[in-house]
Amino acid sequence: MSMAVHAGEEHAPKKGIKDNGLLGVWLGLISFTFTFAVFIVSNVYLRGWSPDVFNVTLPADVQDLVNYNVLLLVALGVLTLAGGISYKKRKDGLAFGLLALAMIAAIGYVVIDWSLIQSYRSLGPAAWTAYVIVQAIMEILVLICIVLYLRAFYFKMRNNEKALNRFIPGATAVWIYTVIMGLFVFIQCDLIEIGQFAEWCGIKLSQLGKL
Amino acid sequence: MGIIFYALGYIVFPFILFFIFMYLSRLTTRE
Repeated sequence: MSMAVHAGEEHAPKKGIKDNGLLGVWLGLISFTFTFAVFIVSNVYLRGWSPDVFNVTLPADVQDLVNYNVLLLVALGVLTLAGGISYKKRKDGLAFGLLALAMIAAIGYVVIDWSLIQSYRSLGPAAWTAYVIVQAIMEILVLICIVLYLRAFYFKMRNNEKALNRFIPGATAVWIYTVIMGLFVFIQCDLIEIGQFAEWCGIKLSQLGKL
Repeated sequence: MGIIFYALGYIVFPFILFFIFMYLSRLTTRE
């Protein structure tokens, strides 16, 4: 009898920081940040150390790719966050619809980032050296995000609520981490100023209006 | 000056991330 009570206590799901799995995900992401930061700082350092060589001005079409990816990343973040909050409120239809849209944004990001990496390659060794690892890490992070969206849909199809209750908070940490790091890379590495970016958005919107 | 900000960022950023993660789990965990 006392064994059964004890076993029941152990199975009570722990939440937030008391969930060792979740804590592990956080600490893993935080330690990975130090690795990632080395390459981000190398980029900044190289451009400061030898601007003539490493401060590459991107051609307009390549800058377009960078900017589209920022927009996709912001969309991914907002949709994922809204999805996670809807999940907590037990609005499952809405939650998984939003997560599906977020996954579409992630797929768009992966495709655009792939051609962006090719563009850096064709811009020459300086751009390649400064950017390839940072962009490759972003590519891998977003690929992991897509795998996590698929896993969430799999649990949903199986109607495995118990697994989802732990999985959604854990995966949200990874999804939002990816967005934060992507925005960080954009601000640190991609030269363009906020004003320029806003201007670019205005131009694209007016082009859209003329269609 | 810039290098000091980088050093500070390197130290502070992981802690900020940790609190962001805690907040996110609160936003998405069912009662």
